[in-house]
Amino acid sequence: MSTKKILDEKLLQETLKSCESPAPDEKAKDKAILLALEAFDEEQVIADKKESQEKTQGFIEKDRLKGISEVEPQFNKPFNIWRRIMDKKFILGGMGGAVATCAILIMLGGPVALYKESINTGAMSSDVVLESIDKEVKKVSVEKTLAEEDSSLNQSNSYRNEKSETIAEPKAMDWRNTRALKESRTSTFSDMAFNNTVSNVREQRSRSSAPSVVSGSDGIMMEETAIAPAPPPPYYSAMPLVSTPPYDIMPYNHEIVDNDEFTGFKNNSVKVVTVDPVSTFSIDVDTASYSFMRREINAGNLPNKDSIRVEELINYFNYNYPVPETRVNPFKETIAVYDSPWKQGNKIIHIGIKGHDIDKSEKPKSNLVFLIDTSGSMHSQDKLPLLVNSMKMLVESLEPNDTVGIVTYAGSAGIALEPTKVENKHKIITALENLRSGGSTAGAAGIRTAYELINRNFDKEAVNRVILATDGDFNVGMTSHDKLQEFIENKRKSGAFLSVLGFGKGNYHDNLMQKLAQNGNGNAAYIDTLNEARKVLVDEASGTLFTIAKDVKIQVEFNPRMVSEYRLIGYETRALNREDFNNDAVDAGEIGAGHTVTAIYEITPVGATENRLVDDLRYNTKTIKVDTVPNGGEYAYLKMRYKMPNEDNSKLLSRPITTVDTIKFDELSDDVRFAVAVAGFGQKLRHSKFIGDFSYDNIMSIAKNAKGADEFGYRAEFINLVRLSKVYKP
Amino acid sequence: METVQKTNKQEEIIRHAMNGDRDAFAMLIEENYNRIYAISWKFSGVKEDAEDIAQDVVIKLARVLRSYRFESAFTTWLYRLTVNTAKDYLRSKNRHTTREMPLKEEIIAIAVAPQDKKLEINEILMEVDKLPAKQREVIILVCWEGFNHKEAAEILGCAETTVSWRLYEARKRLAKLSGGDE
Repeated sequence: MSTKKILDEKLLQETLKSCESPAPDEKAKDKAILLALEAFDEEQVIADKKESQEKTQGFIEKDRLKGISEVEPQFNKPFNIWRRIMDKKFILGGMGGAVATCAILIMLGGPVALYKESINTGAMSSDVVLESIDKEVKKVSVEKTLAEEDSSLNQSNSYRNEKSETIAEPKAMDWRNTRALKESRTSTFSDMAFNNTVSNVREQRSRSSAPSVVSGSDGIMMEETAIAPAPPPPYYSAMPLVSTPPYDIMPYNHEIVDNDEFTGFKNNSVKVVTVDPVSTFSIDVDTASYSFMRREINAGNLPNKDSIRVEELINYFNYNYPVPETRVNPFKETIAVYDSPWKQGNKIIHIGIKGHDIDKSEKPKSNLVFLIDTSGSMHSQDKLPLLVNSMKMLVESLEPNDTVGIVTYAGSAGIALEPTKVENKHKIITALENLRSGGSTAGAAGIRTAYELINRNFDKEAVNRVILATDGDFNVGMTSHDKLQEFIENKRKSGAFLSVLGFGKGNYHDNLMQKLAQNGNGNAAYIDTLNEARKVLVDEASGTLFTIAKDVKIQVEFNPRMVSEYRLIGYETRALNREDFNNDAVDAGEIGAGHTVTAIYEITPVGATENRLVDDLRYNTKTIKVDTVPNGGEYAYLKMRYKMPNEDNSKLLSRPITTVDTIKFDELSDDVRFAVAVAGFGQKLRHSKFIGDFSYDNIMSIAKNAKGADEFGYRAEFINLVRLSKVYKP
Repeated sequence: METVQKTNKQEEIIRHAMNGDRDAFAMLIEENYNRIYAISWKFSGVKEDAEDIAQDVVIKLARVLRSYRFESAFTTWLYRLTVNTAKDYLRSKNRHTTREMPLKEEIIAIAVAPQDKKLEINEILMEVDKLPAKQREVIILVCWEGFNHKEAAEILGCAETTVSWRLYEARKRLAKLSGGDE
């Protein structure tokens, strides 16, 4: 850089001017404009209030018109817009103006109004309507010239009438019931601080549309309105559709439009042993799917099929499988073979793994960094406030020597607390309590900062772990999901672990959370209540925090002489290639201290011909003679590979699964029976075709008899969830 | 910069918006958002921050538009609002968090600039970033946004001579900074 150039104003100007700012993000722009319009409306309300105090004539008319717009009590903005139109206050509102106003109303009014209209007219799908409106808006903004603005009001009305065929116009309805609600809301809005409005945006997005299900206090569905939301097209999904209702009026479980994202996958299919004798998968200790399911059922819905990962439901519970006697191996397997509860003649191979627990005295030091999403979307009660309380609980359970750092991300990342010893607990608690939500989510930058912090403090002897708490929306940042994943993968090699805690509903990106946890040597849990936080962060803290074995893979080879077909229940998202098993470079799941992992296979033994789903091949040259060769008593051969947390080479454990492992169903331990009941429930929620007419009642009766001590009531809760599901039944 | 006709038109729109016309207001922010965003970005250097600032500005605009008195050009008035909002935003942000300074490589990566000039611009921006806030402001407004000293003074709410002086100081400092690097 030449000194001369910088000194010369003209030259400096020339150089800098050639550098333009990047084009603004259209979504951000739309969002900003909508918010500004909302603020504008609020200003008008305030101005009108002043005005109407001066002259009262306007009142009657205003009330009537309010009624029209209060078809959906949540929709604050249509009210404003319509009132503006009806009050004929628009001076500029020429023909273009009126149409644009209608169009904006539709955009704000959201999918429900449109959907209703499209049912009424029966002519157009809501998407088409939205699209046409979208075009209209664009056209209007182009066409809108001053000349047009001068055109008469009559003209604009006729134009609107003409258009009303395609544009939904709210129908008058009995609004008296909603009026009180409305009024209390309006006052909230005008009082709302400007900053709140900003930070609420993302959240508003998640609580759009009307409640379809009203739950009673006991969570049982009481009423369902016929209105279903049309799925918002992607362009609109980024916009706040309605204003935020105050929580005392609209509890969180009343929302139905959600932008939760799950990766769909197919249920494992039946494999023929002669064709495909080997099954390989990575273990999975996550529990996110269970708590998400619980939340949905308690809110009155059967959960989205794609949100159910059967293995996560099973592994949510703690099973008292025997622990390893020595520390040579970090975990021990428990095998049981028993009759399938849902298909006579079939058998279940039950593989349970329990990791050794660690005593308090031998707990390694913890070097934790909380990476906390404080973006606007985290605003609601079940997000940031719950998160803060959960983290406080975790901090309370840590040792004085452990360290905690806090990184927040919203807009761009920042360090809210440098790594601090738990001795100074109050400092950490204060930092947690000072967290506020607002801004957009620069998740990528946040993760980077968190790992920087953890590496700065890296202690080889300690547990180095980033605990990411978020609703999973990494909407901003330079990084695509894949890049983010790549980054996490790189960081994994540095030896830091990652835990992902999911919060909230409506904007929950399960797919990304899974991706991060799976690639970052971590686990994922979904926190829906403070109880769940206690379970994950306090009761099972050692499992969540202290990894005892990593990259744990399971491979089962079935013996064609004993087994004709098999099916792995769950673990669809954890499947590995056969050759991956011995390849130490391939990542797999981690086991924490005291964790239990259960894998369940359903097999069709050779001989149970009527149960077979796949026919023999006519041209199969290999014929297998039953019981004429060694290994006759073996159903399968189990191999497990794992690495110690600090090592790179895997160790192998193996054993045969034989007829000796067979146990009668009634003689099974409570734990095994309970696990298989959960497996049945999971398959039911996934609409599995392999469980025949196995009913919710069957599940309940097995689970009830297998409840055991159930110290904290988790199993009782499960039984209750099954009971609720029976009511909702698909 | 703007033709008289265009200014008149904008004035008309502003007056309508001030009288409560929603469409006029929508049009006003629609037209000005990109400009607001651009300056927010130049001040913050971070895309997300620029979006937040621009959003704050348009919302503020809804609240304070009525206080616009047509005494100065609307653009100047808007710039003043934007600059103040950006300053407030960055100040409060730096107070609450340790700001992760945007890497200038990232700035240049998303900026629209001729490829052959990118390196040079990057170097300048890195130097500009080291300047005291007040000097940075004038560099951004005068050298980057192309305002004359008088306009910049109006936006910043100071005397024209102050702008000239700060600019001179800034350039001197820049020269020194870049000279020191060589």
